[in-house]
Amino acid sequence: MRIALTRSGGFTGTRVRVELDTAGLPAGEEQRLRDLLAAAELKASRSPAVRDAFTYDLAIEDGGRLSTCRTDDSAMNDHTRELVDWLLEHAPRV
Amino acid sequence: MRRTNVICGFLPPYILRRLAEAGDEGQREVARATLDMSAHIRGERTALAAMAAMMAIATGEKRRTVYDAHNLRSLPGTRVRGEGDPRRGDAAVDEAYDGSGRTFDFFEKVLGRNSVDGRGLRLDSTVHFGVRFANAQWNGRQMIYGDGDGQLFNRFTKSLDVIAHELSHGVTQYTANLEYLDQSGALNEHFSDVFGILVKQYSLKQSAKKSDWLIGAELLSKRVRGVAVRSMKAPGSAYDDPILGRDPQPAHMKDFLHTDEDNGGVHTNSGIPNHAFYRAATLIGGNAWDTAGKVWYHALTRHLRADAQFRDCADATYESAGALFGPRSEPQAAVAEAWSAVGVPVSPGLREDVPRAMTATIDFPSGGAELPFLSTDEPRRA
Ligand SMILES: [Zn+2]
Repeated sequence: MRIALTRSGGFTGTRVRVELDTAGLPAGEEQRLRDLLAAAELKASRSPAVRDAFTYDLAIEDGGRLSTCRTDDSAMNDHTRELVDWLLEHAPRV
Repeated sequence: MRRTNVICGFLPPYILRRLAEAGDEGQREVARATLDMSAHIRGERTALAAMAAMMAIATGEKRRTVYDAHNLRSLPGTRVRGEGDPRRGDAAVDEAYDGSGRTFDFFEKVLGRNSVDGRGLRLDSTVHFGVRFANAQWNGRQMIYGDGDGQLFNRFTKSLDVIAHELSHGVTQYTANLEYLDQSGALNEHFSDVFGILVKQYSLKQSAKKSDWLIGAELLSKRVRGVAVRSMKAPGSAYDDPILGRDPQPAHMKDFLHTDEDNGGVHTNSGIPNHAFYRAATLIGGNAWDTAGKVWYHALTRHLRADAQFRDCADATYESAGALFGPRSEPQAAVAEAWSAVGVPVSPGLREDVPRAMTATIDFPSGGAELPFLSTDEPRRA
């Protein structure tokens, strides 16, 4: 599985992108990531009234299937936030 | 009927109206219900509307409240400082309080606006929001500030212009309500930076020439190679850092960034109108809040529609400069020159100094009227 996350916008308008291939991960970490993904039940959601929110773009390629999701800082649920925070901390920046 | 309703029933309508707009949540609800009821019963809707209009232009009273989220994400958090309360000794709390006060004062004294909505809206701020949250937001109702990530960014209340930027998103929401996407979104960002820098200049008593024209100068940590988050004087030059990257802002339409991230690059392409504002203000000279600032505010509140593009903003500020300082005045010429310099020229049809095919302008002592020349159109009445 490969996963990419781009965070854009926010007051500072600075862009951060991380990418991860689970092929190189210890088994425990890959399972942790899969658990986070399953819990997040990713769905696109935006909060129209918020200004200066971070925008998050997720792309996941697993077994030849690509899924993408766009959400923002205020609209995302706690599980998605956990996933995003985990990726920003563990996945290499590109 | 609840007991509070009965008590409110004895209050005169103007106090009810004030409570309905500026009271705490409970007071607002009861006051609104009572106003609706009395209007219905006594048929006083017109009288109340007239009173409301008077309240809207009356000198406002600041009603600031600062909340502490204690690094959680639930809003608004614990109330820690209200209007008139002494300093808390917590920098984020006191900066949010002082900064929203300075912004309120600026809008009232310079632009004649009573708070964010023009009707004395309460100013609520939440600080210490989230964990290592390197951001500030306006969520449609209140301001939200993070503590920074402890690496690249300091706490987001540290720059007065950032606080003014967030509050000004509220002003835009209640006026042109520019759509937060692509060019209209970049204009939304632009107006927040404009009022951000004006509040900073006004509180430093700094002329357009003296200002550094930097947004978020206090936000960057010492580790970052850079001077601020954005520069209106030289967009694209605010930082160049190994981790943060390089300031991506363009200063000219030819470098407009086409992207679907950040709502179409709203925080990037704002560099173009930002630089036009800088140019107009410095060409005119003096204090920007008295000249270009008033022109831009006039354009935002009286001309621009939600779907406005850069060209519409150029035209609106040009027309506003004409309305405030006179057609063919120096400020109006400066506005036109500024927009041309960033590659967004004012529409030729509006330019007073450009000869128009088929038309000639005849000056009348009373202010001027336009008559068609070599045209069969009916003369336009002044
Ligand atoms: Zn903004």
